[in-house]
Amino acid sequence: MTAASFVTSSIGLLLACTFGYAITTYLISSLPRYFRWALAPGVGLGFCSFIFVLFRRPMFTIEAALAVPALWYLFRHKAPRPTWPPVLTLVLVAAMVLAAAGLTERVERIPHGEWDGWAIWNTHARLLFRDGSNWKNDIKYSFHPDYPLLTPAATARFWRFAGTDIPEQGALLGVVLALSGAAVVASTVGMLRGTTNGVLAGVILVSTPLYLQHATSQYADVPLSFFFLSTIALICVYAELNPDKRVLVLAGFTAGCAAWTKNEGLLFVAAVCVALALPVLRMGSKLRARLIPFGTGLALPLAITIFFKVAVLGHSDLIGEQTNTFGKLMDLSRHTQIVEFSIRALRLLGQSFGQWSISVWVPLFLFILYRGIDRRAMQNPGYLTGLMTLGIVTAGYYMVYVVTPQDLAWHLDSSINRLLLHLWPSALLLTGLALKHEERGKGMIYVKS
Amino acid sequence: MRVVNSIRQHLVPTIIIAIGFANILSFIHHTASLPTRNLDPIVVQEERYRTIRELLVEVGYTGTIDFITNRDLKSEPPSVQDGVEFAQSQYVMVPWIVVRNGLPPTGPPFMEDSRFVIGDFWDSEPAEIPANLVQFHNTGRGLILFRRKQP
Repeated sequence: MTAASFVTSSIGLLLACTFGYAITTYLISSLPRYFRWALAPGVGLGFCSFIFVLFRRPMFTIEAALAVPALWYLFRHKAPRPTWPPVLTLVLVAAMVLAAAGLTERVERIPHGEWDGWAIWNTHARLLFRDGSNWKNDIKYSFHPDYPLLTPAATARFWRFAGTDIPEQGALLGVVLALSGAAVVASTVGMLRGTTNGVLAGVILVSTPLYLQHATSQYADVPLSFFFLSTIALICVYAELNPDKRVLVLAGFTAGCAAWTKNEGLLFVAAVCVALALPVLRMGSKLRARLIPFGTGLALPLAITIFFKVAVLGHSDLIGEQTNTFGKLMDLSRHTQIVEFSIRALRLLGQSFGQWSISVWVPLFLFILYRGIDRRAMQNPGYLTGLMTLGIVTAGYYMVYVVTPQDLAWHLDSSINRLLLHLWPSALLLTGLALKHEERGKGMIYVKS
Repeated sequence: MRVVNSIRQHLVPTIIIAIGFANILSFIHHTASLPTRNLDPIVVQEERYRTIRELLVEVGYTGTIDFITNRDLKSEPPSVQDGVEFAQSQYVMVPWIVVRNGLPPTGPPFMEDSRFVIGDFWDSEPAEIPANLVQFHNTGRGLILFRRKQP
């Protein structure tokens, strides 16, 4: 990578972060600046990926035009200089810097990413970058043409800024969102359960080996986990701290970004809608109060995802090749196999690369032991919505395995650890939120409904 | 009780942070043991295919490209490595669509033969080539670009 391409692609990242920060500031201005900054890269890169797919060469037109009002808005809403964060947060910053050093080294050694990274995601990015308007036709001949385009579009956009397709930039999205994910966990738990709890949760996430590996594999799993996490974090913030409907609008947007990242994101969107609606199903006004703002944020990303699915008419191997579905559902051996693999994968998530790392279950157990569980916190509507969402997504993943047309053992072996990785940051967030607050007596504002 | 609480309040976070840093350092250590960049299979393939891509751009070719290996020349079933080479060639050759036996990686088959054919002879170059192919460029790295003779 030359110095010039590094500078131009950094401008691309900064511009995306500026858009993200302007959007988060507009929607959740009352929340702390560090929380808005944690969300900004994901929100901004998601937003820019929509613009890129719709306009193809947006840097000097749409993005330049939007940069002016975004910067003007941020200048007008300049927050007072923040007080210095507690010293403990420097521990998290140090962990993130150290992780970033390792990630950079890994990207240098595997610049094109791992198998699915180049075979699927970067092939799609190259089609967007190199193939002009033919990409819509030619993508049909690539592996998994029906996969959504947030990751490839974000990568192709970086290449457009750099002027050439530099392979390492495919990893930029994963690395940025992996670190942002740790910041979202830390800031959410920090806001709601105290700084120490937040820092510890952030450190556990950023030191999960499998999470770090996939931050640079150039797969879409870490970006997807970021959008799952951000959506659940915003719903918890809405329920406990800030019952402003605009928080739900942003949650809808991040859920939509999940759908635009991977097909599993569509299941996630359905799961969040069910989890938001179910407790207030018979209460019309409360139902509307939840779903209308969430749907408002969801509308743009979902519309673009549907446009892509309809316009490209991609082939989905899970749906297109489906046969004997009922027989598979009734086959007990398939269920047993899935459960056995899941247990093995959970162990793998804890150990990851063999014997050389300390299982993440050890710090997680200590983390719970440290403060103790607060049962009151676990009854909060936000917490319950998050938990129900993860439960529905897990059940959905399970059913996909049961009816998969692929060889079940191969399908489980090649994907189950990544499916668990989608849920891991959100599960860690909910673990942090289940703990007692550092300061006795401080706690939640319970929002009814 | 106060001592136990004090230990819990200070020691447990310290242990969690220490484990976190130990895991990140292990990750860095593991990363350092990975093969260097120039041994990455895709980096190798990018270099192998570089001159073929440049030539195709030079002649302004925009169609599909057929892909053959030694197994195709001997009418044998493809090996696992042939499949890996085919997948890697598709990534490297984007936006050209690489076709093996009329089939792209996914999607509908192509009925017509391509004007150009990539011979990926990663195991060894064949002694004879089919009569309907003319060598257009030999990379010297086990890759030959052929042009199909017009019927």
